[in-house]
Amino acid sequence: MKLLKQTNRDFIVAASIVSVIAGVSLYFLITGIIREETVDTLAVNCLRIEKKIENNDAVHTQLPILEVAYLPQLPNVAYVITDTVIFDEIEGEPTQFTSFTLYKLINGNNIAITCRSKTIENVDVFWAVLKSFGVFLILIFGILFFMNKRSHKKIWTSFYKNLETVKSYSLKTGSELNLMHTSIDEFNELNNVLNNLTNQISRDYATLKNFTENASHELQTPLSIIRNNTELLMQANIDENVVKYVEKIYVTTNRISHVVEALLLLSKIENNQFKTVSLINFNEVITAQVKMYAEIFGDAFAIELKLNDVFKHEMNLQLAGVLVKNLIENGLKHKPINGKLNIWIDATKIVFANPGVKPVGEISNYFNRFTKEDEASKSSGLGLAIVSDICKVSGLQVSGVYEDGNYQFTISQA
Amino acid sequence: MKVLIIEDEADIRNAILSYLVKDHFICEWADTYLLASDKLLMFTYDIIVLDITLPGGSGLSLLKQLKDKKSEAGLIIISAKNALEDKLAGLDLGADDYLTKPFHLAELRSRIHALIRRKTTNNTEVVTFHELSINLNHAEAFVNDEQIVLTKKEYELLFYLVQNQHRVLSKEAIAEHLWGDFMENMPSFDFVYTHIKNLRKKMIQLGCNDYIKTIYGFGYKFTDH
Repeated sequence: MKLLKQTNRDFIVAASIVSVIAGVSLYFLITGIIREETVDTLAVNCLRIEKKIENNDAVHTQLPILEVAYLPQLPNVAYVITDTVIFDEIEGEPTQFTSFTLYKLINGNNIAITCRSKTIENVDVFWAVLKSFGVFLILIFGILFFMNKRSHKKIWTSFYKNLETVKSYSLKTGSELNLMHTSIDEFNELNNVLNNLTNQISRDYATLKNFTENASHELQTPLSIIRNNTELLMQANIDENVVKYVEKIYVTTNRISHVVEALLLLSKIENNQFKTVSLINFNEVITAQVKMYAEIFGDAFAIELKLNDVFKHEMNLQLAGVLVKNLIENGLKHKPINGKLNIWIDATKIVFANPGVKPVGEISNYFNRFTKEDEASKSSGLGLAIVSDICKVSGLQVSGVYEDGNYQFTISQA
Repeated sequence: MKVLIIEDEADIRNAILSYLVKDHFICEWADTYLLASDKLLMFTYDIIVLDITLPGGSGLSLLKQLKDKKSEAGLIIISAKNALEDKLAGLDLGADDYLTKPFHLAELRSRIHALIRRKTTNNTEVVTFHELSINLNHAEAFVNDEQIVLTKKEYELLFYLVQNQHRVLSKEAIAEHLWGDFMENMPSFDFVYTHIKNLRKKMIQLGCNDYIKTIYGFGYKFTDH
């Protein structure tokens, strides 16, 4: 719910409650005052008539508003106030009157003077109050609505503009977050906080980005030194037992070097450093690589390629090559020695399937970095993470399942 | 042959120099931009091995200097940066080859020799090793004038072994020489054995001595010792 709607709703609820309480109070107040005033007026009228009778002026009963009656005996009370319904000939209907009757001994006669006045009906008062409050509420809400609409535009325009700026902001562009200055202090404070926050994150991001790249390059030099010196050491006539140790150093150095390369590749993919795209025919890429593997592995070759259709996708050529290579290598690495890696290409998807032992955890975990099926494994655990990252930046989708003893990785357009 | 190694990292430089010493090259070296620039101004070299990141300036500026001088030296860049753009920039400025660190010394040596061959216009170049001879122009190999029928990769493998005779070559170096970047992240290089085995078989069938020695677990050595 928008802030404006929420505050309006709260205001309407509060105003309605206050109006009901005020209306009820006003109703009782008004009816009270009217009653008091009516009775007062009637009492004064009675006193005036009394004076006239005292002065022996002729007083005639005038129904229904004035009635003078001679009583054999006076009651115990000085006056009585009553409400009576009398048929009013002028109005032609039974009408409610308020009566004030004064009992008095005047000039030796027991006299009852009754003055009447038409009662203002409570229903009339009720409707009057209701109408005035209705108009009042409608006016208030109307004015509020227009005022809010006007100030909303004024106050919130900059807020929404800034919101759009924040939404479209990307760390990768490296630009600063330029927020509009507003006349509202709270918004400016928010802008300041956002500016500081993004600047800090932007700095951290740049540091991290450079760190991965610099660290990778810095690591390659000492790795070169180890590798080159191992090669030199091998040129000397060394004992066969020592060769074993040197070989271990050599192979391990190569492994580190490959992990560093893979991490550097991941960071480059994340930093969008592979920008040039073209329409890639995956049938060509895969066929070429399968041929290459056939040549490398000779007789032990174990890939079966089925080209049902052509799969084409717009992406970076280098990344397409790495994507295919990593998926083929993953299949070759994890299939049993006699097993086959099956690749089939359809118009909408490419499937890499190979038999293998049941996965320990979820297959989706394999797309995380450094996830291996067992810790002792010589693989870096980065191959499928690279696959997943390439898909993410290239508008592709990768999924994996384990069914009937087979691993199946599927690439399709996202 | 005069070779100039421009590399600021002493350990790498010394490794290269030690590896090339048997080739009887005249090897010189420079470890800073200024020293390299001076040497390139004063002397002429046949082969220059150049590291891009140098103290005092970029190796790419040295490339420009060489280009301006219309140098005919063969140029190999060695860089820690494995970025396509850097490679293209280097090759654009007239470099002949580009190697990414960490590289195999055997690979560097093989590229230097390839460059020398390309620079020296020798019409019929034949490399011989006892009864074995290789015709580089036609990419053919013979045992006592009888041709060995080899696949393209087998020929490349044989030539690489002969070229690096008496040196121990690791399986990785051989694989990377034959298949290049495609070998990145290979879990095992045992498949090299299959290719060696096939090559050996074809050579022995024609009566060639078995010059390919297996160095336990590590790799191979082409030698008559």
